[in-house]
Amino acid sequence: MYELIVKTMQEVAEMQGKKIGSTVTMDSVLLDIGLDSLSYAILVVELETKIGFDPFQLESAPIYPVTMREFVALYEKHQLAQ
Amino acid sequence: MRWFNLDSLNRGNWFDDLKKVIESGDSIAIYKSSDIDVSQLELPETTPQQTIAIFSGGTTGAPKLVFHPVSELLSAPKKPSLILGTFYSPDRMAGLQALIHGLKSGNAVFFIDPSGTDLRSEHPGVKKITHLSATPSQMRVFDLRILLAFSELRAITLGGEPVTPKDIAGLKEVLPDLKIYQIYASSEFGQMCSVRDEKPGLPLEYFKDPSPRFNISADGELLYRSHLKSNAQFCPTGDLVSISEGRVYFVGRKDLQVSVGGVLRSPEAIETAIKAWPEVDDCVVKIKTSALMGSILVAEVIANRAHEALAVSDLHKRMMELPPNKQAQMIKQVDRFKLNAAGKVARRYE
Repeated sequence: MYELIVKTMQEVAEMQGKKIGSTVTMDSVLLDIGLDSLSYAILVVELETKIGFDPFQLESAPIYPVTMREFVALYEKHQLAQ
Repeated sequence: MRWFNLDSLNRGNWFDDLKKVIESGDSIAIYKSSDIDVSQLELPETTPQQTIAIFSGGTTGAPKLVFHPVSELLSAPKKPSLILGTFYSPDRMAGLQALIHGLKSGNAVFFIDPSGTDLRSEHPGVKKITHLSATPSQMRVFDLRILLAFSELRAITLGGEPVTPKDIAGLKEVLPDLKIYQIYASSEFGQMCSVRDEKPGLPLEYFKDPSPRFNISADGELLYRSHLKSNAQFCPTGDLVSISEGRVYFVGRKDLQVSVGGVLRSPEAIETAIKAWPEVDDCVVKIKTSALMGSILVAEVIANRAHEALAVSDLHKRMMELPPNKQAQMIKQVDRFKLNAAGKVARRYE
C-alpha cells in the first residue's frame, strides 16, 4: 500500500505542477511532503479509482492523519475490512 | 391514484397497458423501480381530476413527483399525421407527451432504447417515423448515419440539455433537410419555448417582445413568465445565461455551482472552456464528493479523432493556465459519457 500511495502522490504532484521531496518515508509529515490540501483530495480520489474505496468516506467521524504512517495505516485498515 | 411501474412490464406492452389505464379514467403515477424507490412515498388517495404524475429528472437533486391533469395534456394541439419516435420513456415529460400524442392521433409511438439499438429494428413501422425526440447526449452516442434509413424523417426535437453547434452540424451533415427544433422546458414550468432557427441558445427577441416571456436577473439567472397566466410574475428557472452577439446562451445550472478551494465554479462553464481545445471532442465536468474538500470537479474528456493519442498530462498543464473558476481538479479520458435515467449526462463522478 505504501508504494502505491507514494507512486500516486508523484502522479498527483506532476498533475498539479508541484514537486514532492525526493524521499517520502513513513515518518514524513504530510504537510511537509509538498502537496497541499487540494492535492490530497485529488490523491484520495485517484486512490479510490485504483483500489475501490475511500477510507475518509468510510470513517464514521472526521479523521486527520498527520504522518505518512497514519495515512498508510488508514488505508490498510479499510483494505482489510473490504 | 395508483403506481404504474414500467419495469414490471414487457417493454412492448408499455403503450397498450398505459393506454388502457388512461382511458379507464384512473389517476396514475408512472415510474421505473430501477430508477426510483417508491416504498417510502405515498400518493394521494384521490385527485380532483384524472392526473398523471411523473418524477422530475433529478439532474441536480432528488427526483420529485410532478402532477399533470390529463385534460391539460390532452388539450395540447398536435398534428395527427406525426409518427413519433422518442428516446424518452413514458415516465419522463417528453415521453409522456409522445404517449398522449399517440392516444389522440391513434398512431403508433416508438419508445427507443437509450442505446439507439431499436433504430436498427426491421419493424416496418419504425422506418415510418416522421419525428424523433431525444436529449443531445442521447444523439451523441451513436453513428448518425443510421438516420439515413428513415425516409419519412422530417424533424428532430432536442431538449433537456443545451444544444451545441456541433450537435446541429452533425445532424445537418447527415440529413441536410432535417428540421431541428430545440425545446426549452422544465418539470416546474413545462414547455417554455421551442426554438426553430437551428441555432444554439435563445433568440434575443424572446426578451424584447412587448410582453416578453423571458428576462435575466442581475446575477445572470434566466427568468420565465408563463404565457398561460395573465399578470404572471417572472420566476427563476435555475439556469444561468449570458448574452453574446444577439443571442442568449446557457452557461450552467445555478444550483450546480460548486465551491472548491473557496472558488465558486460552474461545471458547465468549465466544459465550455475545455471543449474549445482542439484535442477535445467533448467534455463533461462531474462532481466528486470529497471528505477532505467537500467537492472536487473531474473533467471527463473524449478525444478528437484526429488526436487519438491524447496526452492528459498536457491538458492538465493547460488547465492550470485557465482562471481558477474555469479549472477542474482532475481530467480523465473516456470513450463515452454515462447517461442518467433522464437521458442526460450523469453529473456525479463515481
